[in-house]
Amino acid sequence: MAGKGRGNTDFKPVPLKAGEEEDYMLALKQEMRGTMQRLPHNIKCHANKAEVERYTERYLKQSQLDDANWTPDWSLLPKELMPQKKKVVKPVKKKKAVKISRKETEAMLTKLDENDYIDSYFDNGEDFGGAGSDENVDGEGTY
Amino acid sequence: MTAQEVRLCGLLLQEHFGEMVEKVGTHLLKSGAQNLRMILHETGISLDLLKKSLCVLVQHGACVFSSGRKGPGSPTEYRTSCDRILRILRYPRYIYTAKTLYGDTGELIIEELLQRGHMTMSSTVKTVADRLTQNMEDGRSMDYNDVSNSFSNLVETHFLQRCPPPPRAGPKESATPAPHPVPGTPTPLISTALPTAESFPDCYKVPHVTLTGRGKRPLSSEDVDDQRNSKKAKMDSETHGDEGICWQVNFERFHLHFRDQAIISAVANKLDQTSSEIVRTMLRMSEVTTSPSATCTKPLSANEIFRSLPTNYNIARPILDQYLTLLVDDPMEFVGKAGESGGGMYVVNMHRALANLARATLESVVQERFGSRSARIFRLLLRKRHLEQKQVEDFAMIPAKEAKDMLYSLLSQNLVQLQEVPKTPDYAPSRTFYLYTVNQLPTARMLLQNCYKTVANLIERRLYESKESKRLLEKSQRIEAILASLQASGAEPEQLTEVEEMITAPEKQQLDALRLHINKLDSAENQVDETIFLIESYVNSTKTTS
Repeated sequence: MAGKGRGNTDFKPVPLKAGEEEDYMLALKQEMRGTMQRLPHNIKCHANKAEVERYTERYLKQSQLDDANWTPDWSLLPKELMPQKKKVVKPVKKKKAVKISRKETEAMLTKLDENDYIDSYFDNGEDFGGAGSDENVDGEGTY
Repeated sequence: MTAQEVRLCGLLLQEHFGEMVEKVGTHLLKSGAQNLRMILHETGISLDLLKKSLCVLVQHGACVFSSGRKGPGSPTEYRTSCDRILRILRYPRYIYTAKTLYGDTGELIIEELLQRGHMTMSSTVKTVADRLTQNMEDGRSMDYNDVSNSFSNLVETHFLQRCPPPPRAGPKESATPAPHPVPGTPTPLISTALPTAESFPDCYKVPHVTLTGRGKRPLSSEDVDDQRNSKKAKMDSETHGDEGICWQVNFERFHLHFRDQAIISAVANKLDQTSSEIVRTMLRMSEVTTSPSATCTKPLSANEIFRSLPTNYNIARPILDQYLTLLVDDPMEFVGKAGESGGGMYVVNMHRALANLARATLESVVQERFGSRSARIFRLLLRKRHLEQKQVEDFAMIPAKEAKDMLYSLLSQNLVQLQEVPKTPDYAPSRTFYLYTVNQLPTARMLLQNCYKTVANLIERRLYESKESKRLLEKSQRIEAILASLQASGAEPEQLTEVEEMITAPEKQQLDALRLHINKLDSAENQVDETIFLIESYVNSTKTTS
């Protein structure tokens, strides 16, 4: 139990329950996992995506690729999470776009660091409604 | 949240939403509420991927957002909690329960909503109708109305609820209306307690939806390309009057159902079928009158219970009274007597039942890990609270040497604690009582953490097994895909056999063994979650004791 496991093998573990109900729930679990890994909610890193697409393009049905573009209901999400420009890009181009935005992000962040913006933001509780913070929130929008 | 909880949540997020979402989710779990800029800075993920990940987390209720703590001007803050993510373990149980209560339609409705996080009623109905139609015979299809009815049933019984409307505040918007405005009290800071779905009166109101039609079969591949364009245009312009009203699964309602099931099956195991039917009847009668956190049901008279028994249960009135007396006398304390009027007033003791079920679980764990004599000692200490070494030996009827060994084993695993009670102020060992004791609640908490660790280990082991055989798995998937496409295009049986033989016999053996291991590990996860549910329910019930 808690503490260092001393591998007590005097007593064997109780066997798993087995029956219709257990088998059905096992199948549900594995199907759920498989389905959710194919939904657009499952955000793949680009390295994995190339491998997956090799097989999907050649063998699987077209219908399974339909879901690739998922548009959430924006009325239920904060505005700041909306992507600024929605481009239909091929995977190769997408990679570039991500890289560019990362560079921009890093540049922005170092600029912010130089301004010591982050520290002062939280120090000045009384200034939170002021012009300074509003402008920087606008600045974020250029990503 | 504990390290074990965070580790398990990370694995669940990774398995279902990918590494990126896992990274963001785990970060938020460890850091507490943060705004977008802070998360960006601390995780180093690109803004685009971060935004997408947050969308996914919010979509699935794993993350909530609210205007910042410093008032209406500060940026939106995001926060995640372990509880919602840990529910992913229970998804199969929710789906299966929906199936037993509302058939295949109910099952698919719950499954779709769990997979997507939340959806409008109309899109759920359409998707489920299509799925059901796929499995029907050629020429038959599922009417939208039937699915809508099932959906409404699920809402009426509170298994589904509307998502709470999002907090309206943003950095540029004017003052946020508080969810429960307290008259006369200025609120300079937004309260950190977020409204639950149930704080809104319309939470269980089915919207008026214009939805007529039947489920559609998936089109064959030739039709897809020309149909897709025209169909898509048509679908997009269809509205059904319920845009923006999203629905989610109400986990708490399922949990009440599981709790009732646990009590009923415990009664059936301990006593008999008839007793469990009586308890089931009592619980059914109390469904709407008992609050979820109540200690026990409202008192029911024996007369009422007699009238409400299922019609195929023909037991005589005096027999019912005997059963009720048996139930009241049973040490598990499932049923209690609350008065004498109406032939006797009876209640189901939910909190007592949960505590006893948790206790039985603890005892079972000790028995399976340390043997039945150690379990005897453990049960003794639970009942008698504090005992000296000698008393343990006597009461448990175990020789001194062995009793000492067992106590020390249990002690080293923190299942038993030692308390020193000095007779004199100098704590001299010869003049101090050393009392062994077991405290049920902290021990249950410890076991719960153990369960989280167990499930995390099971998942990691399963991932390792899959990874070890990755090449073989991929080969087998490729071959299956080739077989499928060959069969679809009408290939000769010889061609099919040729392809099947691309997997050698030893490879096939390896694959079978792998499948067996993975199934065992997956099934074990499901079953550990049953224990997790029992103990969580018990621990939560102690927090709300009124």
